[in-house]
Amino acid sequence: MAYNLEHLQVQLVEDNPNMRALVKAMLHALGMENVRDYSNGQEAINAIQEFTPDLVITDWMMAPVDGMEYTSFIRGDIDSPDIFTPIIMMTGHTEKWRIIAARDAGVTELLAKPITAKTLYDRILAVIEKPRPYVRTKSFFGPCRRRVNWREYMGPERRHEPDRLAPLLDFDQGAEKAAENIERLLASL
Amino acid sequence: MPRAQPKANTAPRGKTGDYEEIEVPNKLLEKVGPGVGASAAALERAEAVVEQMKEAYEERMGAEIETLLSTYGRMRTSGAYDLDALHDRAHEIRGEAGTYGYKLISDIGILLCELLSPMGDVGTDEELAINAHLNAMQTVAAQRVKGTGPEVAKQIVEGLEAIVERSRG
Repeated sequence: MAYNLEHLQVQLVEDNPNMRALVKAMLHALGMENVRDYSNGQEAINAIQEFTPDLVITDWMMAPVDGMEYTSFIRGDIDSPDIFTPIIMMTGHTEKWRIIAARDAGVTELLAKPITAKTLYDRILAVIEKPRPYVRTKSFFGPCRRRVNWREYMGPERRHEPDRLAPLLDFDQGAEKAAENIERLLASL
Repeated sequence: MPRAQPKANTAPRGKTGDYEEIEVPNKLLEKVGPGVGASAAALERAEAVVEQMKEAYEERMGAEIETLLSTYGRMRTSGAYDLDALHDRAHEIRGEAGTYGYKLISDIGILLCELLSPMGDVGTDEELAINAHLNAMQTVAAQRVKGTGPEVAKQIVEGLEAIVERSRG
């Protein structure tokens, strides 16, 4: 018997109504019956006290409050109901600086657009099965940014060496490759 | 509507210091148990949803690209280019087209975004470059070319890639 997702409360935040309808329908098909959708981060903030999410799935580019600002709200606002809420960020932007920025804002998982049912399901399974401890430093709060072997990590401290990732980033090969590259990038962090 | 202003978080955080690791109970796992693992049936249902909604997308795909073209046409006529708006529209088309299997439209959208991102002033060369992308997108949509398309589509993309590369100087 597989996971039963029907009791999870999910906030879906996406400004494109067509994409929002598609992702919501996919979530229902995956068994998530408690999904509420919002067209931007402000709407989600306004609703969060009456519907506290177990999981947030959000787009990045929205107005007036975008996905990064909403992530900051969840992770650091006094009105956040749970600063440890897993956040999956959907984005078609695959530039290196954006991926690093999302990670540093405390996003749990990135989901590259174009989205498929499999990539969406995989990210949901990842937040269920592979939770990472949270880390607080002077400049960061969120899931541990090392995604692989974080418990056994014995290597050099690389927190201040963002350019080490450059060889992994070649996003000129189309959308599918971009999704692969994000995975490779995240696995290397 | 006012923008949310993040405030200081006063939630309990344990000891202070430069680096603090916090183990958090896995509330999600508690809620989705006692079952374990993925459901192939659920994934199939979700994939079927995409197929079901593809028809509606195909009906509006051409219209969305026409809207992009007419928006650009108005900008050309007035000389008032809003490249951010054009980029955002192309970005949306790119994401949705890829989700529904129209990879070629998605790839052209990516190239158009790459063309527009660093663009400053719009002169004749820039207009021609934007036109080439929009026309290619319009043609591919009209032909309903799925996936990466035939050999000629590859040549179109290579041509657009050359335009983008040249625009980078």
